[in-house]
Amino acid sequence: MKIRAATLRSFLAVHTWVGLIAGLFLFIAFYAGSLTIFHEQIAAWQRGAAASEAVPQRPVAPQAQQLIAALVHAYPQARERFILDLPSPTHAQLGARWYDDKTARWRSFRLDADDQLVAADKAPSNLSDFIYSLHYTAGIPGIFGLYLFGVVCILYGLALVSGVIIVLPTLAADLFALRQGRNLKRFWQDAHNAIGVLSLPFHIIFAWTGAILTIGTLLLAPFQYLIYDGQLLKIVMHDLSVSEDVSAAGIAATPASVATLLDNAQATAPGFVPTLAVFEHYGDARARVQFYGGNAQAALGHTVAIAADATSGAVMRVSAPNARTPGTAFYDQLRALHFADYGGLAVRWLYFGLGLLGAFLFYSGNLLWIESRRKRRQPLQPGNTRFLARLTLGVCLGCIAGISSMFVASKLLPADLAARESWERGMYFGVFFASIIWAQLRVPTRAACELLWLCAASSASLAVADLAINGGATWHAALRGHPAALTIDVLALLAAPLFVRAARACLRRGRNGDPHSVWALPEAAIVDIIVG
Amino acid sequence: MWGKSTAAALLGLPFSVALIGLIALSLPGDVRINTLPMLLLFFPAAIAIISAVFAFRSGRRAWLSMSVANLVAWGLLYALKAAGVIGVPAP
Repeated sequence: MKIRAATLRSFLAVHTWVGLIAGLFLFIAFYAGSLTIFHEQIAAWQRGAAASEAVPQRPVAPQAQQLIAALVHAYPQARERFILDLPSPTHAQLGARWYDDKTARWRSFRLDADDQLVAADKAPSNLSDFIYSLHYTAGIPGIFGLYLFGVVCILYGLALVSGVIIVLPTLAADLFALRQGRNLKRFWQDAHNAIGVLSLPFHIIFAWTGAILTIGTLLLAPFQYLIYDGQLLKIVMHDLSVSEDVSAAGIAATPASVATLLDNAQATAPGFVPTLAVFEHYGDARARVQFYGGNAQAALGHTVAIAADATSGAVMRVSAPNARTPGTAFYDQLRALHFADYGGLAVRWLYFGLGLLGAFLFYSGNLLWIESRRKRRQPLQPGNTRFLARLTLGVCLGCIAGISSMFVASKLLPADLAARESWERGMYFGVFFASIIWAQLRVPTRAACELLWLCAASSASLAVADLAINGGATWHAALRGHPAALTIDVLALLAAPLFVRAARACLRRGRNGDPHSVWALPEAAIVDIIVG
Repeated sequence: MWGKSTAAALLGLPFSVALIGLIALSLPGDVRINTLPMLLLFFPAAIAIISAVFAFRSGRRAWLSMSVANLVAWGLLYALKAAGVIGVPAP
């Protein structure tokens, strides 16, 4: 395909700039995202093998009835709106929660062995929750992190389009070329192009759904005011919400039993497995309930939502794979594509692999830029390439080592430590920022070597910490059909020698590679000066 | 590059909004059915349009063309709405 040289240069500039600005954020998003695919397994690892025993199954409906009765008796203000978390394969405990406006906090409860209302323990899955939040905020607090990633997704989309345009002229000839040999840059460029083009559909989905999930609501504003004359929210509410807001009637009425509500819901949607029930105006004549859950039989986008009158038990509206609007279906399918919520374990591993390859794409992109700016006739390289080399190493390797260190801290910190969660997060941020600072202070190749050794050590320590704290319990749990924790340990152990190999390769490059490069070690440059 | 970049960022997004809005309101059928799919398609459309701005030969051309494009798109939108050809039905 013939594209004008000037146009290609334009798009190369676009690709370079968006890559430099968004690349490191995207590395963190992809690495944390790959791990988040297995957030349930990470939570299982954190809980320790003992907690992965199956909770004895009690009938849900009577227990839920008791829980609701206890909740509204103790906290009448919860009647306005409370949520029932129904037992599911990933979350065996029945719980109820409501949002207390006065304290601006969610308050969670469950029933203890004597059927008394007790405050529910905070979910011990801080590790997986935090890694998930890293995925869409990179640790930046509040709404800023989220909106920043919205902008990052737009830049990412531009990087994809510009990247494809750049390789188009030579696509047929070069796509499957992976030219090993003396020209290292050619090899890394081929790898960057091949991975980029071959995983393009994956990346398109993530740029698209990432933007929707982060800044989708922001972009509604121009449409609301400039196109839809203020009617937009009313128009799309039918697609996005299964029920309409109603206010309480102020007339007391006996609510239908949970058993009746569940039975009616499941009668209208065969295969429906509810995981959440939202009750509104409980005990009022206009009480409502919305059930949310899935239908495992559907292929892609299997969210089911059912709205019912909580007083009469009559189902008011069903939104299921076989009965929903095109808008709901489209949105649900896009979400499923983002969250790997289809196709079972095979798709999850595929996303994991593609995610790590994606992280490599952003890392290699920065390295390629450094290489393209290399001054070939002198040892001293431009300041901006030296800075980016150090920054890339610090951010990427610091993120990897930080997350591994957080796993270790999660196992080794005392269980009753006050603000344990803060200590765990502190471990991540501590290692992350220390790595960035360390990289700025060291010769790039030495920093690479040392940080890679840090990644190796923290990765191996993960498995060792699990062995130290849980002993053989992880192994026994795997034998009993719960291999999640063991798999994590094994993968971490396998990753350690790979990091060591990379560290050794860096050192070799520094000593034997071209002395006119950011990656050259000073002694190599000195030899060059002496030998001439 | 600065000219094209600013044109892309400042004029590309509004043009995308107008274009998607025009198509969405012109589609036959119930507006409650058509709207969310069109909004979801906004993102790929915006990326395509913003990228296309970089194909202009110069920053001046980009600004000129995108300004005209915006005037035409928004003008058409408001004209058709005023004429009652397209519109948002009262709820």
